[in-house]
Amino acid sequence: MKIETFINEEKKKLNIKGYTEPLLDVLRRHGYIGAKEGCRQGQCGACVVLINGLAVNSCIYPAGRTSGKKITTIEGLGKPNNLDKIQQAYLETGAVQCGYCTPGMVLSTKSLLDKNPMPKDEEIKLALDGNLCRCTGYVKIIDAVKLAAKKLQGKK
Amino acid sequence: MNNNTVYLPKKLPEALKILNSGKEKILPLAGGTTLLINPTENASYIELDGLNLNYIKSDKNNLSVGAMTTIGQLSVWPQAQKRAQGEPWNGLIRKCAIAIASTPNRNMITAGGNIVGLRPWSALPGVLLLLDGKIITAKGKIYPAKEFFSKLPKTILGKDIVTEIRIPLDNKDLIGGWKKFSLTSTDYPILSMGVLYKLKNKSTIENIKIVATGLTILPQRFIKTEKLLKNKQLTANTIKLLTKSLQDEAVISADIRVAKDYKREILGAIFLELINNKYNRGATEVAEKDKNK
Ligand SMILES: Cc1cc2nc3c(=O)[nH]c(=O)nc-3n(C[C@H](O)[C@H](O)[C@H](O)COP(=O)(O)OP(=O)(O)OC[C@H]3O[C@@H](n4cnc5c(N)ncnc54)[C@H](O)[C@@H]3O)c2cc1C
Ligand code: FES
Ligand code: FES
Repeated sequence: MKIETFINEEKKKLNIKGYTEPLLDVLRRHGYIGAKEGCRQGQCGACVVLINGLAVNSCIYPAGRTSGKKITTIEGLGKPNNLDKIQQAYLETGAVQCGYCTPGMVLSTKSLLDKNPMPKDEEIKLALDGNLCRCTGYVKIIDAVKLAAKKLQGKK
Repeated sequence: MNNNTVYLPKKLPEALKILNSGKEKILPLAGGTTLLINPTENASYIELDGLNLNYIKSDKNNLSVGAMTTIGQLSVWPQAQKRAQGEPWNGLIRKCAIAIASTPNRNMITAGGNIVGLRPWSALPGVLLLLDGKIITAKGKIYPAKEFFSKLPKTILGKDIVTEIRIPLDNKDLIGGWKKFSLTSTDYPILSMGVLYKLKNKSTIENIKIVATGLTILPQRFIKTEKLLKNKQLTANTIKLLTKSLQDEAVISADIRVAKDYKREILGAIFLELINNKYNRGATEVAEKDKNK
């Protein structure tokens, strides 16, 4: 089955094995390997991507449903030599250790800051509540979101 | 491997026709958070996305929530400026929605899926029981929440599709509270509890409804304790007696994660928190004064 969607603002035709094939598998097969597989149960957020700006767990999102929708993956933000402001903030605050959770974290951060440019601590915690990190202990991640907010506002 | 056939109807009558078309096992596909984790083998699905069932509307009498509205949408309803003017039921729906799963899951889980695919931890059924909600279907049936959650909703619904949840707004000034208890903030809850009540003279309960989810598969009302609470002043002593009554009234099924007695204790603790919270103006002070006597 073929569907047409927009990935990182590019029109794409994707081959999917069936309407309910998890979006995560489809993305990774098509080279978007930034989305990671953690639990496949909607419990860890390693697979988070944005659909029309909203964070979803792609491991339990039916790929067929993305037809005509806009998908944002981590590949759509910066490039290694030209990082996006959110990625830069994660790097500068030391919010990344093994990096497995980072694509999902960064995308959840983007979804939050696109709607709420100066979130309070509680709002940050709520927006990132589906992204588990087994390395950092979250303090640096919250710092990273605050720094990213400042950077995006041109204040840093 | 998820290889279920999926029908993509454009209109609700078409979806209903497919659902009732033959012997094949066909299930509506809503948020997919159950159906993608545990695909039903040899079943086909009907995609409900695209049938215009995603809306939150209100008029003088009712709040109407389309079945495909996500829990994420409910968790921000009403918008902040309207919240500042006073939320219906003290924000009960929003508090319950925010307690469900995590942000990415809330963006997928639908109101319809949460009530039809009833699990012990499903939260919305509890809120609908508190608020006397009604469940509207594509075949035009209207089920009061009390009836819909008296058995497994799927057996009551049959080959029909839930299109809307409707909640009367006449009691919107009642005080509502919702609390979830889980091992981590986004885990499947061990239990959740909700209350809806009215106070007179700041610390006397005029009327109260209490529900808990997570004790058995069906949400539970605590009618006996509700009756005991009626017209009671919330002194430390009455609160203690009522907590005991609630714990005695609870029917608790086995749960692999925790012992029944543990759940019973938690139930009491959550109840105390809910009726002794900051919205319950006066009651805390009364209870404190009483304790210090
Ligand atoms: C990690 C995780 C944590 C969770 N935590 C919580 C929690 O704390 N509290 C809570 O309440 N829930 C929680 N949930 C959600 C819950 O367990 C279910 O996954 C969810 O309610 C199902 O909703 P859905 O829209 O995804 O439905 P689907 O998976 O699409 O469908 C569920 C069932 O309902 C039927 N159905 C759906 N919509 C309709 C309709 N409109 N008409 C007729 N039949 C319909 C389907 O055919 C299917 O049988 C959690 C889920 C996950 C993955
Ligand atoms: S892999 Fe999707 S939530 Fe864990
Ligand atoms: S950095 Fe290792 S899981 Fe988050």
